[in-house]
Amino acid sequence: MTVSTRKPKADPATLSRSGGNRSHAAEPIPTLEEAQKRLTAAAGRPRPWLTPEGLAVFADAPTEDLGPDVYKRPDAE
Amino acid sequence: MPPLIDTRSGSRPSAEAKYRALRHAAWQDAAAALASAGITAELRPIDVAALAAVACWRDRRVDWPWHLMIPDWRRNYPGRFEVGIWHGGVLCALAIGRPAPKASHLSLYYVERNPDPANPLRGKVTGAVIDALAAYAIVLGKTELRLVDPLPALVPRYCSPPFGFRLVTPASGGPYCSRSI
Repeated sequence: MTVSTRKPKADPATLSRSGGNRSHAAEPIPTLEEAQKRLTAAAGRPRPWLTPEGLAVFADAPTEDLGPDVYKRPDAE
Repeated sequence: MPPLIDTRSGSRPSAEAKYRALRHAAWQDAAAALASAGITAELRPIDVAALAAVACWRDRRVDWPWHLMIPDWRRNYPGRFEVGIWHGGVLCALAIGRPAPKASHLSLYYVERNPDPANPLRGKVTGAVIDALAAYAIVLGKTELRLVDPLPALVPRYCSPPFGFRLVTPASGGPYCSRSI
């Protein structure tokens, strides 16, 4: 049996835009399975903003907007 | 209207699809928590329907061009946080943010609430957005939430005990509110 010694090709989704140099590689993207595990593990976390006390905080707020008055175009990563 | 997803890069569609699935998982988690709190809301991408709905909003506090913002952010940040919050066919809010590369925080940059006084989620938008943001942070393995460039009048509310943020004013750059999760 012939076994290839070539390294498997990296997932292009994890490569940097500059070409995938290892030292500049983007952070790996969690798999959906990893994501579900993380959410399950955190299922009992406090969500104080969804308690009656939390929901009362913005009940009379004239706005709930966040951000600058004028849109600023993001710089490319 | 320009395409909402940039397909010029060979790697980008793959990353876009993976992050889309992760955002969906976070939205599902948040929607279930909202339902438990008695809030019926659908969390969706900022799609053509959302852009059409926001174009009909009147008496807006800001004039953010969401139809331009979304292509900008999709082009630059496949891992972005984005959400359109709907209730009964009414678009109640839009929000967008992004994770810091190689750092532990997820930042929220823009939130706009439907200014209609009849907005069924009026007063509940911030809690809903922060819950979805926190879920997405957990999905990505981030441990800090940041609210960038908050309105000064709202900072005391973000820093109230239930929300638990603290105001940070760095020597360079704008202020933000920070909270660990």
